[in-house]
Parts: sequence; structure tokens; C-alpha cells
Amino acid sequence: MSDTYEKLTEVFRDVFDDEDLTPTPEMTADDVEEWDSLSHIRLMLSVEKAFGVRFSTVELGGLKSVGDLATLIEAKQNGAS
Amino acid sequence: MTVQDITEKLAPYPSLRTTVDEVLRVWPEHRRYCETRFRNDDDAFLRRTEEFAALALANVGASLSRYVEDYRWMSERFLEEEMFFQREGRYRLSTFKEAYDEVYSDHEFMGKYMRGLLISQVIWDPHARAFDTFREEFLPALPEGTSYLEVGPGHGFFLYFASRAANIARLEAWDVSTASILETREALKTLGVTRDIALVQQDVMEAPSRRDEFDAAVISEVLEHLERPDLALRSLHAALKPGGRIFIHVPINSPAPDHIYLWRSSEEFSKFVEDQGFRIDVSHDFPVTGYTLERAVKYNASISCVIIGTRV
Repeated sequence: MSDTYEKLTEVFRDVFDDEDLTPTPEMTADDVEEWDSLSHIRLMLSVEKAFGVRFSTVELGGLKSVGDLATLIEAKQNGAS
Repeated sequence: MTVQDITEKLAPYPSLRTTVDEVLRVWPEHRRYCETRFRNDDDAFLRRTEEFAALALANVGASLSRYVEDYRWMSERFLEEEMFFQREGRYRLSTFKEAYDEVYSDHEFMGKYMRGLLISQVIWDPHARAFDTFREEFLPALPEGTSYLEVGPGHGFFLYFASRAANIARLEAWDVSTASILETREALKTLGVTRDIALVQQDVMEAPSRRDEFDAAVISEVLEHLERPDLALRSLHAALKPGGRIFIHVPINSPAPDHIYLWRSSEEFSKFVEDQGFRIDVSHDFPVTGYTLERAVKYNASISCVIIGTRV
């Protein structure tokens, strides 16, 4: 598992209070019962804190999957956005 | 519950079905939210919500699509405010001037906001439950010959049901905005309200000139828009007769483009109401759609606090 996904796994398990939850690139909000618009914001703020990045609302609106999120995180960490 | 199931569940309720169908057409990503919203509603509550939805559709006329698009727009604005709230632990605005400059003076914004809010009265569970408390618990318990006062009548739905209640002898509503009063007057006409209702331009935070006059007061989703909600409740305290009843609905931890006063718990809000001279007789906390109260409290998610009290 890449570093990004290792850290994302910690964040997801904490936000959704589920020790068995393992995010995959294909995972979407539909796959996690408690992943609604409000918990999405909590999740994104937790990701910001964990990875030292900051998202705009436009960027958050464009995310369709965990894979999109991982790509965005890595782009920000590489200074690409 | 799938989209098909929602369609089947709402089949006996044409106004609800029409509204939800349009929401899902304009905003298919809202499917899961709508499924959650109606999943646990019993038939009695659905029948009453259907009555409300029929009034909403009468108000909307031929513009349902536009109203639903504005509901989606408004929901996105609310999520932006939620992001700020979760980051900073406070509402973004804190004064009436800020809300006026950003929201109330922007006619296009206000138009979309008001149209979106109307749809939310049907689609958001806490709004529907708060209104149901007004209809089922507050109105019927008022004495015969009640003199009724409402602050911020908006789309006129509370006034509509109050005007049809046999125990209400007189109706009056206050709004600080003459433009809003005109809109309420039009809305009441569209809803077919024929009873006399005094619509008065009055700032509820001003020193009370009306004392010991009303048996019942209603203030729903107003206090969180005021810099001094204490003054508003004290005005209503003065305007009510001793023993008069009050219906108060306030959302807590509920960021919105024009919310400026933040209560962080229903306990904090209850104490606030008591401090203004009211005894709390009934209290309900309705969490945001899809949340248990416990989960909403844990994550500081929005809760609609509804209080029925007595002037003491």
C-alpha cells in the first residue's frame, strides 16, 4: 500500500469510526453508509490536517472517488496545484 | 431504499412525488439523501407532509424546476458555510450589516435563497418535523379565542394553518422588511387565505410598544439571524399576556449564508429561552436528515431545536 493510501486508511477509519474500513481507488461515497455531504466535509478537513494540504470547494466538488482524492493530494504535495 | 422504492412509497402522495421527482431529475446525486429522508416516515406524517407539499407547489406555480435548481444552489452555499464552520468553529458572519451587505441587499441572491428555502421545507427532515410540531402540538393546544402573533411569516405556511384553526380569533404578523410583507401578502393570496391577517412592519428587537396583548407567539427560524435575539424574545415576552404560549424554532450548529448568532447545543439554547422569562413546556431536537441525535451532537451537525413555552 502506498504511503498516501496508508495515511488515508488511518483518516477514513478515524472519521467513520470503522477499524475495518480500507479505502481503495475505486471507493466512492456510495460504498460507505455514513459518507454523506456533512461527513464528506469532516473527512476532507481531516485529510487536509493529515497531509498538510488545503482544498478549495471547487476541488472538493470535483472528487468522484478515493482515487481522485489520492491524485489531488499527491498533486498538491508535489506543488502541482 | 432505491429510487424505485421512493417512487412506490410516495405514490399515494402526488405533491411529494412531483417535488421529489423534480429534485431527482435536476440533481440525481441527491438520490441517496432523498432515500434517507423518506425512509422512516409513517403514513400519518406523510399525509401531513403531503398537505404541506401541496401548498408549496401552489406557491411555486409553474416554476418548480427553477425552485429546485435554486434548492440545489442553496444547498451548495450551505456546504461552503459548513466548511468554514468546521474549520473555524464559528459562523462566518456575525453582524446584521455583514448579512445585509452579502445577502439581503443582493436581490438575485435573495430570490434564489428564498426559492431554495421553500423546497427545503419539504425535503429537509428537521424542517418538516419542526413544522409538524407547530401543527400537531402547538396550534391545537391554544385556547379558544386566541390572539395569535407571528414574527417573520415568510412564505405564509404557518399563517395558513393558523388561519384555519377554529381556536384562533385574531392573527397578526410582524416583519422588519416591507418587501417581505408584500411577498407574504402575495403568498397568502396564492394559498387562498381569506381571513383578515394584520401584516405589520415591525422590528421585533425594538422596545416593545405592544404589551400583554397576545395569547400565542410564533418565531420560527428568525432568532439565528439577529444580533440580539434576547431583545426579540423579550419583546415577545412583553407582547404576550401572562401565561401566553410561544413556539420557537432555531437551528443550532447550523451555518448558512445569513446566520449570525450561534448556539452550540440545545442545552445552551434552552437556558437562553428561560433567561428571557419563559418556562419550557415541550422541547424537541430534530437532527439533520440521516443523523441520529447522538451522532449530530458528536459531530456538531445541525439540529433544529423546537421549544413550546409559556410566558412566566
